Amino acid sequence: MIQPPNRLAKILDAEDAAPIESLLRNAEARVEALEPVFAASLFPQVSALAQLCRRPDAALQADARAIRHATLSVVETAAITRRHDMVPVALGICDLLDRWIFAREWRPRVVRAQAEGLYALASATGLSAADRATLTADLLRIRCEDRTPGCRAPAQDEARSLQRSGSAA
Amino acid sequence: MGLPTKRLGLRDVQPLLVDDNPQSADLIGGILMGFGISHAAKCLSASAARKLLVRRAFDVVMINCEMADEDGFTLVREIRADPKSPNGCVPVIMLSASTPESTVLMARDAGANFTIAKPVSPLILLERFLWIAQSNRAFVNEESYRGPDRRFRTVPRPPGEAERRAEDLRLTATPDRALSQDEINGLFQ
Repeated sequence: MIQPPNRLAKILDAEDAAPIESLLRNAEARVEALEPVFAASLFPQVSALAQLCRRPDAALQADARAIRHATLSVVETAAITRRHDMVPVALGICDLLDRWIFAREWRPRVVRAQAEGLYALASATGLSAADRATLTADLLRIRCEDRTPGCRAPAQDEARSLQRSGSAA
Repeated sequence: MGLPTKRLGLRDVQPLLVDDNPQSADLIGGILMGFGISHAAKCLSASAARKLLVRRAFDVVMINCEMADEDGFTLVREIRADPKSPNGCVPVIMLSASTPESTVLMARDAGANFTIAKPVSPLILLERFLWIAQSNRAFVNEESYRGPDRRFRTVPRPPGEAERRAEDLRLTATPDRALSQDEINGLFQ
C-alpha cells in the first residue's frame, strides 16, 4: 500500500473558491446551451442506426461492435434531450448486440424491430407522449418475449429486470 | 453523498477527458468550463491520450469505457501499470452510457476510482470530484491489482498484529463433541 498525494485536494482550500451552487448553475447553463445541438443530432443518429440494421444478417453480425457503439451514442443523446421513451429501447438494442458479441445468441428479427421502433419514436413528432410510451412498452415486450428458435428461454427474473429498467428509464 | 454548503476552487484543476464521442466530449467540456476549469485536455482516442499521459501530470482523468477503437479499461490498466509514473496514481473516473454491474466491476478491477453513467450531470461530476478531494484512499500496488483501495471502510489491525489471514477466522478451540440441549440449558442456569 502506498499513500499518493491527493492532487484534487487543492479544490478544498483554493483562494479563488466559489460557492458550489454557483458552480453548478454555471455548468447547468452550459449544458442547456448545448441541448439544441444534441436535439438536432438525435434523428440523424437514429436514422443512421436504422440504416445499419436494415442490412443483411452477416453485415450486422460483422459490425455488431460498431453498431453497439452507435447505439450508445443514441442512448446518451436521447437522455440529454429528455427523450426518455427512447433510452430503454436503445439500451435494449445494446443488450441484444451484447448477447451476440459475448454469447453468440443472435436475434436479428428483434434487433431490426427495435431499430425500426426507435426510428419511429425519433421521427413520429405527431405521436402523443402516451402513444410513445405505449410503443416503448410494446418494443420492450417484444424484446422480452420473442426468442429465436434454439435460443434459451428468457428467465422470469431477466424479463422482470428488463421491464424494471424500461420503466425506470 | 450530498454536497455540503461550501466553496470550491476548481480553476487550477487539470483534468484529462478521453472520449471518442465528440458530443459527449463537448458536454463534459462545457460542464468543466462551468466549474471554472480552464485547463481541460480532451482526447478523442485512447492512443492520443496515451501520448499526452506520458508528457503531463493530470489531477483527474475521465475515460469513456466504450470507445470504438479501444475500450477504456485497457487504458486504465496501462495508467496503473507504473504507480511511479506521473499519472500512475491519478484518480480515474470511468464514463459509460450503459452501466450494468459487470461494467462497474470491470472498471473497479482495472483500477478506476468511480464509474458514472452518461450523460454526465454537473451535480454527479462535482460530487465525485469532491468525494475524491476529501478522501484519503490508499493505493494498492500489487501484481494482481493496482489501483485505489477497493475497500471504502478500512478497519485498522489490532495493535501488535502484523497481518490477518483467512485462517485467523477459524476457531482456535474446537469442541470434541457438540453439546446436548440439556448441557446447553445447564450453562444458562
